Amino acid sequence: MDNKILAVTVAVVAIAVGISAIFLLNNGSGTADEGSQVDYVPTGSDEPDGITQVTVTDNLGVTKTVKYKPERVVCLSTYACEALMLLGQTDRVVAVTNSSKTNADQAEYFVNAKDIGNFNNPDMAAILKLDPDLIIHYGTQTAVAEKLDSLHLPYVSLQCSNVSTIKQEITALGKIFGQEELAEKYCGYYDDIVEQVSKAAGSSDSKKTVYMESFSSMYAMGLSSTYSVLALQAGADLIYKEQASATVSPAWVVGKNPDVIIKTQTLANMVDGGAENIYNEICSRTGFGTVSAVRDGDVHVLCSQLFAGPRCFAGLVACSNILNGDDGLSVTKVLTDYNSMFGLHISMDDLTYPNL
Amino acid sequence: MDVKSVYGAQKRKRRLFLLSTISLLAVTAVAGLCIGSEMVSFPDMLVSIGNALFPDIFEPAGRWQGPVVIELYAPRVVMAILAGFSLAIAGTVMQSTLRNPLVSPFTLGLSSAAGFGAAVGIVLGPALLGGSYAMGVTFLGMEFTLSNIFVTVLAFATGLLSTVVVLVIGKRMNTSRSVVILTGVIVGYLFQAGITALKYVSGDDSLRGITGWLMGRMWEVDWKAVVIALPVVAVCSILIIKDSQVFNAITAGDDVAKTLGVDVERFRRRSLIIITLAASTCLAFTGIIGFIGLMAPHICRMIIGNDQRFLVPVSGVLGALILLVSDTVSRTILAPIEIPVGVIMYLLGGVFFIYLITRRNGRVLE
Repeated sequence: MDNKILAVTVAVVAIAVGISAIFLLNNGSGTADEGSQVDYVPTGSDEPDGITQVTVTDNLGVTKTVKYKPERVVCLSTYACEALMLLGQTDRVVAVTNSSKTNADQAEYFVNAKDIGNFNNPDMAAILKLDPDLIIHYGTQTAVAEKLDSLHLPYVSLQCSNVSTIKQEITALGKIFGQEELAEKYCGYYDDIVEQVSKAAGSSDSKKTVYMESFSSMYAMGLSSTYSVLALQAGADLIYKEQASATVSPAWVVGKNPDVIIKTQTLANMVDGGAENIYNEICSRTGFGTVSAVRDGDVHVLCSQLFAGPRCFAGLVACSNILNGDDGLSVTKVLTDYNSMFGLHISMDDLTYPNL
Repeated sequence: MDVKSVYGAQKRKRRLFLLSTISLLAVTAVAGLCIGSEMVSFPDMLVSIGNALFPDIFEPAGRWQGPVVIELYAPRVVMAILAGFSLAIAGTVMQSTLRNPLVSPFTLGLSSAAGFGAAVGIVLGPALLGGSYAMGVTFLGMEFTLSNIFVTVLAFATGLLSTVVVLVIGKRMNTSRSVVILTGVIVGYLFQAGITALKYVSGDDSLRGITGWLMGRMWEVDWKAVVIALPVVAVCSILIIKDSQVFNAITAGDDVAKTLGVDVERFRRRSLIIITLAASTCLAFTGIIGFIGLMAPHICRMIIGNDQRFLVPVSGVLGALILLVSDTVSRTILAPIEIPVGVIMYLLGGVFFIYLITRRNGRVLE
C-alpha cells in the first residue's frame, strides 16, 4: 500500500517538475521572442494630403472605415492574397494562412510573412502579437469575425473568392491600398474577357447540356456554386438545376445524357498523371459508356484554381473553350496576359485535362 | 493491523492523491496561461492578470500579452477545467448509479445526442431562424449571437432527450441494467444517423463546422461560454458531491440502498439528469470530447478505491487535469495549427483502455 502511495507521489512530482521545466524554458523563449518581429518593408508615406482612412463596404454588407494604406496586413484568404499580389501590395503583408505559404503561385510573395494556420481557425495570439492595422478576413467564417470583434482587431471581409463580387472586392482593396488604377485595370481586363465569352456563347447555335461534378465522385455542382455560375455564363445548359450541390445517382446522369462532363479537382490531385486517372475513372463508370459526353470525348477535368479568386476569368474561358470552341481565347493566353499585366508568376501546368 | 489503522491509511492515501491532483491542476492551469502558439513569460502573465483585475494598480504587461492571456488562453483554461470536471463526474455517477464500469456520456448516447443537436443548429439554424440567426443578444454585459445560443440550447436539449429516452425505456420495460446500457448505445446510434444525414446534406462551411464540433474543438471558447457553463457546472457538481454518500449505498446494490431508505429509482433519475445538464452544457461549447468519463474514474478507482465520497470529486479533478493538459498540447504542438482536442483524447483513451484490458486480462472492467 505504502509503495503505491510513494509511486503516485513520485509520478505527481515528476509531472510537476516536467511542467515547471517547460515553464522555465517558456520564460526564456518568451523574452527572446520579444525582439523577433516579422520582417516587412514599410512603403513610405505617399498618401495624398489629409487621407488617413477610407470607408469600404465588405462582403458581409458592413461599411467599415479602415486605415488608408495599412502597413501591417494580415490576410486570411488565399484569394485576397492573390488580389494583393496583383495590386503590388505583398510587402505590406505580415501574416498569411498556411494555404498561401504552401501555394506554389503565392509562396514566393510571402516568404517573410508569418504562417498563422488555417483560414477558419487562425492563430489569434500570433495575430495579436503582430499588431496588424488591417486584417482581411474570409467572410464566410463568422466565428472568426466574432473573435476578431471581441479582440477589437481591425478587419474587413473581402475574401475575393466569389465570381459575382470579385470586381467590387478588388475595387475596394484598390481603394484601401491607394491602387485604384491597378484595380480598374483588372476590372477592365475582366470585363473584356466576359464580353468576348458572351459573344462566343451568343454565336453558338444551341446550348450544350453539361454535367458539372465537384471534387467527390457523383457530387453535382449546385447553381449557386462559382463553377456553375461561370459555366452558365459561358453558355452551358446544366442538367443539375438545384441551387445546392448534392450527390446524384449515376443512373440519373446516364438518363440525362449530357453532351459535356466537366469535373473540377484540386491541383494536388491533378499533377503527376492524376488528371488522366480521374478522366479514365469517369469514362469507365458503369453506364457512362452510353453517355454522349463520353462517346464523343467531351469529358474535361479542370483545376479548381481556375474558378476562384481574381483569376476566375480563366475558369470562364476554360468553360467557353469546351462549349464554344477556341474563338481567340485560351486559358494559357489569358493567364499569360494576366501574368504580364500585373507582374505575376502564376503557373499554367496541370490546369486542364485534356489540354485546352 | 486493525480496521481503524487500515481505514486511516486509506483516508490519508485518498487525501494525498486529492491534494496531489489539485496541486498538479493548479500548476498546469498556470502553465496553460503562458503556453500556446505565442509564449507569454510567467511575470508577464501575472501582470496581465493583475492589470485585468486591478487596472489602476498594474500597468499592462505589453501590447499583446494582456489580450492573449486574458481573452485567448484564460477562457480555454477555465473551460477545459469545467468540461473535464463535469465529464469525469458524469462518467463516475453513471458508472455508480447503473453499476457498470463501461458506461459514460459516450456509451449512454449523450455525446452523440448533443452532437446531433449542435449539428441541427449549425446546418438548419440559418433556415430556421432566418435573419435573426446572426442577431446579437446582450446578457451580463456581453453580446451573445443567437446562433451561439441556438446551438448550445439544442445540444443541451437533445442530450437531455437521450437520457430521458434511455430512462423511460428502462423503466417501462422493467429491464435489466445491461438493457438500459444497450438502449443508450442504440439511442446514440440513432443520433449518429441524424448527424451523418446532416453532414451529407450540408454545405462546405457547415460541414467544416460540424466536423470540427464532432472532433472536439476548444478554439471557439470565450468568456461568454464560461459565463454560461460555470454556474451550471458549479451547481450540478455541488448537488452530486453532496449526494456522494448515497452513491456508496447504490453501488452496494439496489436492495441495500432501499434498506437504507434510498428511493433508488428517483435518485438514479435525478442524478442522471443533473450530470446530463452539466455535461451537455460543456459539450455544447467544446464539441464532443470522449473518454474522460471513462479514464478519470478508472484511474482514480485503481488508486483510491470505490468510496464515492472521494471518487466523485477526485475523478472530477483528474478529468479536469487530463483535459487541460490535452488542450494545452493540442493548441501548442503543431502551432499555429490546432489539433482538435478530441483527437488527443481518443489517442489517450484508446491507449489507456488497451492497457486496462491487457493489464489484468480485463478484470478491471468487470
